[in-house]
Amino acid sequence: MAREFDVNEEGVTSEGYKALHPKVKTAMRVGTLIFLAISLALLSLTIIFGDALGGLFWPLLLLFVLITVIALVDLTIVPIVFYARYRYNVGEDRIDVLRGVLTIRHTVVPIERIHQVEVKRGPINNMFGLANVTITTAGGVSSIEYLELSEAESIADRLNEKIVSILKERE
Amino acid sequence: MTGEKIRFHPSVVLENLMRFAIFAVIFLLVSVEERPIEAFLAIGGLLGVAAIILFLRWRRTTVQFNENELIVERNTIFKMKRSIPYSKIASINVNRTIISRMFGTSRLQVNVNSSSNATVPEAVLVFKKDLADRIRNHLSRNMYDSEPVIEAEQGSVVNVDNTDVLVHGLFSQSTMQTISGFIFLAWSIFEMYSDAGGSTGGSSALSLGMFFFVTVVPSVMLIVHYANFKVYRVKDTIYLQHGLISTYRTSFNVSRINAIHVKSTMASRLMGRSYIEADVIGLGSSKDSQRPVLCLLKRNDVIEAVLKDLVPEFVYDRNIIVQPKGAKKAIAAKASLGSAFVAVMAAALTWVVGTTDRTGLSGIERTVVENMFIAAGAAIVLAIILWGYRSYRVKELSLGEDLFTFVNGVVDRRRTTMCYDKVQIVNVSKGPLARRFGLAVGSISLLSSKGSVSVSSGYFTEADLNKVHETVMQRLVNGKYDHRANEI
Repeated sequence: MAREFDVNEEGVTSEGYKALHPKVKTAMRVGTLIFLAISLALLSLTIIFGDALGGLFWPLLLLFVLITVIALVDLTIVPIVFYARYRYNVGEDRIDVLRGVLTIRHTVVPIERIHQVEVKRGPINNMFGLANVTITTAGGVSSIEYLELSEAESIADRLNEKIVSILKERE
Repeated sequence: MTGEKIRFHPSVVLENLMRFAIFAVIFLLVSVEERPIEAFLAIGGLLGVAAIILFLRWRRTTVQFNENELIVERNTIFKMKRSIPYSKIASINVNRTIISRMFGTSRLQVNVNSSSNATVPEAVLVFKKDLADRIRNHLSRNMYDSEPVIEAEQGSVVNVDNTDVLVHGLFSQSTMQTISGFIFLAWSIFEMYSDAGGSTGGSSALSLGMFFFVTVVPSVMLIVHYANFKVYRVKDTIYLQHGLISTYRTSFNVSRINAIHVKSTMASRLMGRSYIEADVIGLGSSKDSQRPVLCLLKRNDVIEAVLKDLVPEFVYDRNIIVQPKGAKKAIAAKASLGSAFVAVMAAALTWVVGTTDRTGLSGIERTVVENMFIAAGAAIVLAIILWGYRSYRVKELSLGEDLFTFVNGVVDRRRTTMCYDKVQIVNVSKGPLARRFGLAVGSISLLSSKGSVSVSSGYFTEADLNKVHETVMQRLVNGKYDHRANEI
């Protein structure tokens, strides 16, 4: 693994980036399991009603097998690599996110450019006490995913305070 | 004018009804054969109801020009009151369609600096032409804090004649679009001279129709759209006007430009010509969602002169960084993988066509179809090799003090110059191949008239690409960034 992702005992890299909580892996797996269950149910229906589908049977079967294989990879390998290769840092004037399974992406968002900060929780994230912080700028949206709820809310509060103070300084 | 509530010109009812009528006619054509009387009655009834609704909507919609803002108010079942402060207006476009000309009206499209509705104007105001001109001048005075310019007295920064418009219409379309159009034309000719099936007339006409639809019609539309082209700058405001049937006029402050693109297609490069597009915040228009063109296809030296005259803020001495040698290996590896995939697919398809006789063809047509995938596969592999070779040589990066530039495009070239102060998000990505050679690809998110856009670089060292966001942050810290000039 690349050195930039190495963390100390407190879960922080030498450059101050934080790691996610390990329960992220379970949350990701639960999401994939639900997706896999739906895919398998559709696969079963395809096999049961194969005669009625006529020429579509084989392409559909192939599609669902492909989806199942991808889901199995998502279930086993992806959560481990995702967790190992996800680091974030909310600094004084910028947000840095390092992430990626195959391609490693370093995203930088200057806090000055932020228009809106949102804390989002889907049902699976909610089950594990996780949330995403979505950051909207004029040029697009970026996010810090699978944060613990308290951490997500604290980041959102800090960012909102900073934005307000920047706007006040300009008045 | 100040404080007074004004209604739009009543022609707006007819203009909106015409749009509805187009859908009604399509519906009528589809259903007229089965139930003609019911279809006519239904359409007539719907048009009548639509006319009443549109009339009431017009009657109950007013616009008010106050000291600091304009207010558009609609008092129908769906009530609306939209207040637009003059200070937030980024541009005012004037559109004159055929109906506008018939009634002597103009459509004023008011745009603010919004990211959510970047392609849709915040307010569309329809008035008699002289009143619309007075309102535009009134708004311009409030926006730019200066007296409006007399447009007829202004000469264009660049002389664009009919030949230039024609050349732009014919050669500014993407090379892929042109090639696909000519593939349809070739297929149409092939179908015309082939004798299999006895139904070639129909498919030949369809291919010919596709050629017209993909190549000829867009060219004609470009020629009509950019006829009578004129661009000039007064102080910090750029004025743009063009159009043969529908005329289009807009103006925007130069500080609203986020990026300048100097573009050329393969055909235009052979002629030594390129054109200029700009990413402008708040230039949305429901009809013209493309980027504004600041100069049509002209000789490259003319284009450089226009850049210096029109947008000197986006001109700097470029210190060109070419892709490092490692990029050659990364591109070659990518091209090899792509070529191998194409070769396998072409071989598989040829085998399927050769071993199964589902085509029902014979003679020359069967030979063509049997060898088509091999020929297409070979052509694609050759194209991938050429792409790889050119891709290494073409892509460039330049990092200046206030501006930076990405050069991209193997077939259709694009030189994008961006301002650090307009950068919203920076992504530096390292894929498995790029990582192996110590390289990365940069992607910059900006706001444009088309909404948020992303501009990507070629393969460069991570350190070089990191300089973009480092400079963005430095400018924020050391006070070089002026928020008043870059407010969104």
